[in-house]
Amino acid sequence: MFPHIVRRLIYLVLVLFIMSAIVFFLMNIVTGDPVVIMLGQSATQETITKLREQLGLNRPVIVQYLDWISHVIRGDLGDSYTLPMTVSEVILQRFPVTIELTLLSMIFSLIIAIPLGIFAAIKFNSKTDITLMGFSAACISMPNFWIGILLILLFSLKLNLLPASGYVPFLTSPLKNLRLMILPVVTLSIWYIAVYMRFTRSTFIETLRSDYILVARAKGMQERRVLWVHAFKNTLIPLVTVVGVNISGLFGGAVVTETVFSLPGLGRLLVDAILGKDLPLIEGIVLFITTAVILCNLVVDILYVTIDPKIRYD
Amino acid sequence: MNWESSTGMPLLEVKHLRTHIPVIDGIVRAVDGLDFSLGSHESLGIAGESGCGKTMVALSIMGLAPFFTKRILQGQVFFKGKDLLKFDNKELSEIRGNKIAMIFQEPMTSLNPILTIGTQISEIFIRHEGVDQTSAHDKSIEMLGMVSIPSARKTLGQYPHQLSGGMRQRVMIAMALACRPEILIADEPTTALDSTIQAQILELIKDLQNQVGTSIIFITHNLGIIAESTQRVIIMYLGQAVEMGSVFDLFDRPMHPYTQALLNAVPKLGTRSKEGKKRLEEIMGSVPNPVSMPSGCRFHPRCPKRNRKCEEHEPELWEAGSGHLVRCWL
Amino acid sequence: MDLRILRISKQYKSFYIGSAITLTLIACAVFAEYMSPFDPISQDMSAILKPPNPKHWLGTDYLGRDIFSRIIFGSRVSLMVGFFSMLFALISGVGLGLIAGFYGSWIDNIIMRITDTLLAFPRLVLALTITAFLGQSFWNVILALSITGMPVFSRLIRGETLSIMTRDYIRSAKAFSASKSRIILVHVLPNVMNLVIVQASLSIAFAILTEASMSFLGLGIPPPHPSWGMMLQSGYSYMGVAPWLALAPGIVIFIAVLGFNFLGEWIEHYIAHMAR
Repeated sequence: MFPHIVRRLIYLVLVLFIMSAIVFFLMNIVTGDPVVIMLGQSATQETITKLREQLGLNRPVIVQYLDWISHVIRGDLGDSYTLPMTVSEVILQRFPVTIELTLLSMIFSLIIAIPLGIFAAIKFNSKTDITLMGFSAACISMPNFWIGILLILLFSLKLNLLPASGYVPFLTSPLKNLRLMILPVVTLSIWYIAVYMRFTRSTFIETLRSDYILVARAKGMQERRVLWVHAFKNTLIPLVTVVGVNISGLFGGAVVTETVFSLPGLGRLLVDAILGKDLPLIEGIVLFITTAVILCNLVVDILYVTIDPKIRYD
Repeated sequence: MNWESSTGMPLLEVKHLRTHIPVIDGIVRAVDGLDFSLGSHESLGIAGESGCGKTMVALSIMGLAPFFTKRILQGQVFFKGKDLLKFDNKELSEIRGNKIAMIFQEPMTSLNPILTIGTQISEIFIRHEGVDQTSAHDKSIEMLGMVSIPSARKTLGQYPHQLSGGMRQRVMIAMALACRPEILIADEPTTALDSTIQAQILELIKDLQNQVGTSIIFITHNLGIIAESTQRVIIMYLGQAVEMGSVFDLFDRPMHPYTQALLNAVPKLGTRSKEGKKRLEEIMGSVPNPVSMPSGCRFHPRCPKRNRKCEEHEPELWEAGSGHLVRCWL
Repeated sequence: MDLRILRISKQYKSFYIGSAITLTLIACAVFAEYMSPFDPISQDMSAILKPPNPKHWLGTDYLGRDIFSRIIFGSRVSLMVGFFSMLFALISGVGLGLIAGFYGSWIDNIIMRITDTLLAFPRLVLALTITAFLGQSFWNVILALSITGMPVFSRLIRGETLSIMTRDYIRSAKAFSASKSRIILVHVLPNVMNLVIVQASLSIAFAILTEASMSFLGLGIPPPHPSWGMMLQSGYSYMGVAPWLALAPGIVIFIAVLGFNFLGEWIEHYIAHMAR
């Protein structure tokens, strides 16, 4: 087991480096002259050259990159162009919202999807099963922001049950916080519920067809034990992998969901930053989110290695 | 065993067993009218090519058809006088693993990869004998000893992927015999193993049969095993029994052309081709699609001795000698 | 084409629904001028935010533009974006995957690490960032979606190539020193195409969804091209006043994505059955 974990860690560092290089490249090479952006089109050539000198933009790219990385590692992401704070400060302020949204969505979707998937599998090819499959196919095809809008139309505007926007920190008032999060979490989760449900169902069916399940029955084990002790855990293990793969998508979906529900999270911040051409902020957010995804994937990887006996006991 | 002597009825009696499975193109008649009986301490062999239905017989007796297929089961399977086909799953699960047990062909995939060996053996004792964890654990060690697995304690804590094929098959045998079943069905127990291990496993099965006193049904395509380990044999083809009798009768005077061909195709007892399937070089043609069977005698397209009658009318079983039954017009 | 397979009712439906939807969309995109009653960008300030009526079947938006026409023209945008981004992602992804799987060792390693890193970025985030820096335009959006859509193909093809490489007939082709490109083109590629086609359909579906998200945020295809995602944005803004603005574009996106998903699923089933 340990060689696997060590390998994963090395791999992690490598990916982080490549990722940061890509972000740096996008930011500083692709965007055109940042100095011109800062000073505006009407600046003279002299001022531009002077500022470039000042900001050290005439040094070779590698040096610029290393310099930048050394700042990033220390947590210094520069100052925001549009907000009166450092990038790090803004991010720290806003990320709890996004974390709460994504975490709740992941948990919620798994809680709903796994039992539904198993239920559909047991009732294979029945009307219930076919209905569930059809419904999930629909959910996968719907844009999540549209679902958000529809939910707002129904629950906020028509029925006046739930709020359409706003946020209250959890520590200030847990109940209000959760009430405000219901619609966003449901919106973000729907796609994932459909995907996880389908996957659980097909894996469960696959598992039930395997030899060792036949053997378990041949040993006289009761059906309940066969399903839950023998088949279930075998289904969960591949599911872990699928959840890992979808973590990055969860953050992507959060961007849109936060916009629809006006949640003060990183996603909406990113949109604002892009609209406001706030380069350091964009850079910082992308770095932060992607690092979060990579770290989450590491956790999932390690989790997988520990629960699969084939890898754990080599 | 007292059942047979006290009641005069065989331990297991199968009457007109039919297992039909509907598929897209039609119906596969996997088992089509099988009759046989098994007594105590007996060894019965069921032989035939792959696809002839022999595994289906076993699964039908145990009520273990594949989970998602609708299948039609007809006939009667009397175990100690009670018809198993009338039992529901719950009642059957009391008998499986307990009174009737089965060993399967593929040791590599027959054990649950995420449960320890210990769990997989102990659960049998816990389920059928109602003992607690510790006693089940001890009994499991005992069983592993019976199948000659060294370091039983260590093995109990291991996972299936850490054991070799031969070891896994021994574990399967240990699991099957744990509750001293009255009938053991062994479905190609050695086919997937190395030839050196095969003999060991067969020896083991026979030893244990003597120790425990079980009746065994050997399902195999290998006539060598039939010759060595069984007393009576049924030759199956496309779901039907084409010849039945004592091993002596069949090997001495095979009456059905299929049986004769099978025997001719054995170059030397105990040898097999790379994949463990014997190639029947003497019989022309191949096993037809089970959905569309030939008219008349099912074997006639491949039979060197066929005549007009064989193409048109399906033969019944008739008695050629005492206990020796053949399904043929010749 | 083995029509017997279509008898299985589930696949039967997938095929008909999927292809019907796709064909309708393509028709809309190609014949948009003939099919839509109004010019999608002409504004009529006297008919702002009108609900569906006999003149404007789906109502009008905040600039008096006919929604129905905009939706039909929007199909052009969505299909083109979906198709082209899928195409470029496919070409680059399949190419890289073949190279990685075929040559193995360090080439494989490098390509895979790049792919993995690309996959670490949330697709929407990366697409938004690329578009933000290159500027918002039709082709930049396609480029952004192609880059983010490439890893799926390269991973898939690489895996498949690797498993094909271990098969005996490749080894014998190598032994006969057939030229490398010949091996790839003649032996590996045809076997891989099945997977590619399935994934292509699913990729179009996903690209349409992502583009819609980007346009919804105002960071996708710039106006005045009607894009379904952008129409949903105004639907969102005018939710309280004109709820019908939000319904139509959403439904169309849903149908389009569903159509391609079904098509992809059906192709997958079909291939699986043929393999038996």
